[in-house]
Amino acid sequence: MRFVHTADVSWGMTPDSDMPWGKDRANDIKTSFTKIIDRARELSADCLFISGDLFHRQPLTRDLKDLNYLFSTIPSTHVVIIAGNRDHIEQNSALYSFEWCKNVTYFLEDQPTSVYFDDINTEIFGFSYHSKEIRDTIIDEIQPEVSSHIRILMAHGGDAEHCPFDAELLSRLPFDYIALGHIHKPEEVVERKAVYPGSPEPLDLTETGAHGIYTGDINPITHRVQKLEFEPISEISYIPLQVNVTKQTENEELLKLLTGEILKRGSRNIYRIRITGKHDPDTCFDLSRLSQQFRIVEIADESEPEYDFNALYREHPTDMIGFYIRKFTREDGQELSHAERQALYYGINALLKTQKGGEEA
Amino acid sequence: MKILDLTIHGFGKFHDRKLSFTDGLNIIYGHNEAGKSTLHSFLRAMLYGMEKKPGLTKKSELYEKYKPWDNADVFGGELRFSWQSKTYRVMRDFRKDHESLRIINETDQTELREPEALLTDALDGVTETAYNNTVSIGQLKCQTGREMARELKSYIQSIHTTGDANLNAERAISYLRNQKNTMEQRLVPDAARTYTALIGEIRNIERDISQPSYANQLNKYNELRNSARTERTSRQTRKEELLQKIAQSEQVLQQSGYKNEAEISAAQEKTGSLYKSFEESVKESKKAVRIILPVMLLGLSALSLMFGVAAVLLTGSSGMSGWQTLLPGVSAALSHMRLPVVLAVSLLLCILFLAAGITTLRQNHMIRKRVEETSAQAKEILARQIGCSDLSEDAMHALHSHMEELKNVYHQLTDNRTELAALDEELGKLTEDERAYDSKLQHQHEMQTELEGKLEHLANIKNRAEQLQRTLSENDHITEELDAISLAMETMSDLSKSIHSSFGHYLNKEAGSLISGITGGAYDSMWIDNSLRVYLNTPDKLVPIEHVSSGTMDQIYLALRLAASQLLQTGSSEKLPLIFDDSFAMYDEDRLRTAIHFVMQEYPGQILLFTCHTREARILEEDHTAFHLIRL
Repeated sequence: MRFVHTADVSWGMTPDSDMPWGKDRANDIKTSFTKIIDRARELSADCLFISGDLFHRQPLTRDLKDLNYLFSTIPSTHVVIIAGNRDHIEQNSALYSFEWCKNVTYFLEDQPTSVYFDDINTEIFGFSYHSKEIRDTIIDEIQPEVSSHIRILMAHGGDAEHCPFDAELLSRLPFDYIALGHIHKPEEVVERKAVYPGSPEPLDLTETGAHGIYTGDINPITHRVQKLEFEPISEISYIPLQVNVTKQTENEELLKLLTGEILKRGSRNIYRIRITGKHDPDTCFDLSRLSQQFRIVEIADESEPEYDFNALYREHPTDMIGFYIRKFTREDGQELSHAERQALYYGINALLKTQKGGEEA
Repeated sequence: MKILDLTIHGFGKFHDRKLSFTDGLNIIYGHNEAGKSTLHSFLRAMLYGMEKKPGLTKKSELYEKYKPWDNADVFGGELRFSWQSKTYRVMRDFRKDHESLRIINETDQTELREPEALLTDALDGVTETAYNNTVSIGQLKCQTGREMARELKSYIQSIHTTGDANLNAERAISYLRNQKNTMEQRLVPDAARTYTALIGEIRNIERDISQPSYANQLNKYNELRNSARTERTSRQTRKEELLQKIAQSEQVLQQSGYKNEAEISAAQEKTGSLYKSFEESVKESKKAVRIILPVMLLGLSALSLMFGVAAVLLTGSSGMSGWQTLLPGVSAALSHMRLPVVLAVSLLLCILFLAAGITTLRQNHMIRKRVEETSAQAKEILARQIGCSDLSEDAMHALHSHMEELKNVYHQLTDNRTELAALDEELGKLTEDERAYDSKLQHQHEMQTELEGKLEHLANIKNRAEQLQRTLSENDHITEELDAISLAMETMSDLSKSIHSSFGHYLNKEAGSLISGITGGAYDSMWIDNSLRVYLNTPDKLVPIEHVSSGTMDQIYLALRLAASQLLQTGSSEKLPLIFDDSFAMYDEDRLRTAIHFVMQEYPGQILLFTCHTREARILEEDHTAFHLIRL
């Protein structure tokens, strides 16, 4: 039995919505999902498991219609869907009166039920979220009876507020494959048995790395998972870049370095830049040009100005600069807090810039 | 700045007096009343003007004091100084309403357009107050220890306001303030409020849409309505069937002309009785009697008549004989009877028999008519009902079955009508039910549409809230930076204050070495605590300033002023000339020698020493130290 497994598609979401590429990302999510459908068709997959959070929020009728159309293009694939914590089913949900096309099974109950497909001798167990959180484990109470079927469990969650379970529990469950959802990074939790496919598209800047789907084959006789592979789908990644600067680093140099790195890794990807190290106190890094050219989601300048405080203190023992430095030297030798360090830098900078003979701000 | 020379046109007692100065030490010697302080004041006035300045002596006082005695028209002078390798000539007129200041750059042969600015620069930013407190050093005016100490302290306090710009954090603080303002511009102030409002709205909408009225019951009502509709349709079909049947039955009945069973039965009976009567009549008419009797009666009647006639005739004698032969009996009889009686009887009999005969004839006619009538009626019915107009038993049987059938039809009809009525009622109810479900469904659809609208609105608001989150965290970040800047400003301002109040710490360093030098090592340094108590350091102990001799206090004063003026001009290379106005009057010889040498050693600039003693000059001559002497 061949299957395609995905989850956390978050159809309808606009990642980085306050950034100019937000809409493009929203489109990417939809395009990727279409790709998944196409892939299912190419592989002649028997099943497509969507383990929760297919939608970013409660779906409207038109969202259901759009997806139903897509599902109708793979009529020979059993599409099985459960609702996760984000798209949990409310009393007023359009799902209750929506007629899916024949090959789609949507588990509406919040208690585990199962569906059996005779053509592939497979029984699939699942249930949907009816609220934002579920504190019970639930999946350990499911007792599948017939072992002559291939038995699949679809479950969404894994942390304290969402059906808590762990790898140990999963490995004990009597299922041939457990199609999980909720964690956005792909992970094979129990080898050849329980998998988080991750979201097909990265949804925020912490979701670095490859994103895609899992495909697999289950032997119809032995019921073992014979083949299980991750297939990347997303063309865009979030990439973190860290640059260490020195006193010599100039703004142009930094820009050039970063531009080079970005072009090397792909200018369509989304970057998160961190600057560390110590810079020349008179140098101010302005990376706005970078932001205009490329997709920069965050610039964290954690670099600090390089002041030789000892030398400064020796030069200015009796004036404000000396006193100011003395004030921030802790007697207990402890590290300054971030706020204190910043205040020190701001103060010294102001004093140096405004002392007689220095530049006026 | 070095003062080259002074030219007094008119000031105090001086009138057209010129004095020149050199580098290094210049001693201006003149006994009391020679005009040393006048000269001093003139110098100050040339540098700073005579305009009223806040906190200083009123202009009128100065003005009056130094207005030339003899010639009030000439009140002013010139001062030439060199600064930054150029020579300048300052020309002032102090006359009221004629005040003027002109400066000519002799090196470049230009007149300065902004003479005030040049003076400020050349004076290195030393204000008049600072000048009075530092550069221009007089005597400590008071003699008592405590008063001197007090004066010292107030001097220290006054230095605070002049202060070394390098100690002054004002500029740095305002730099920081500017930074803070710029950064505050980057805050989005409404973000937090908008975010809270959005969250509130989200909660409201979510609460709203979770109301049971929005629950999706479309399927339920759909099913209900569909089943209602199916029922109705089946009943409708049945109704149609019934209507058809009823129509048929009604038509049949209509054709038959009978409205109900009663009529049919009546008709049946009527026909039955008609037929019976017909048969009877036929039978009756067929009776031989019917024919015989009338014939007989008529015959009898005729006979009677004939008898009568005969009687008449017979009695008419001639005839009698004839008839006697013929009718012997009759004649006999007749003869017995009286003729009128016989006539009457025979007439009566004739009429009677005639009447009877006519009656029977009539009867026969009636019977025949009856037969005809009944037969006609029966035939009519028969014809109408069974289409055949033979009047026969078969026909009657046929009629009977027909009528029975009609009766059946009628029964059917009534049954059907009852069923129809019941159906109608059911249909009515079902239609109402269906309509109710329809409207419920419509309501559900409306609610669902409303719900979708609200869900879309909710999605929009959630999007806006998501977008704001980044703004909020940026705001937080900016606020952190602002806090750091504020901390810097606070620290700096606190430091400023505490530095000023422990001015001693800083003054110590500068004044320390000077004090040691000027007292010849008697005291190491000086310490001023936060409450401005002054102590002098000896190797063994701290001596409060009140306990030292007035001479020492003078020395301390000198050292302080030197230190202060040094500090004021730390940055500049061209120091202002140091001016001593009878400062060493109270010094003894040794101290004087030490002090003068010390000052010359410590101060690299020009020194102008106004004195009414010759001691200074003498000491310097003895020590072979170069100096320039001016006698007033």
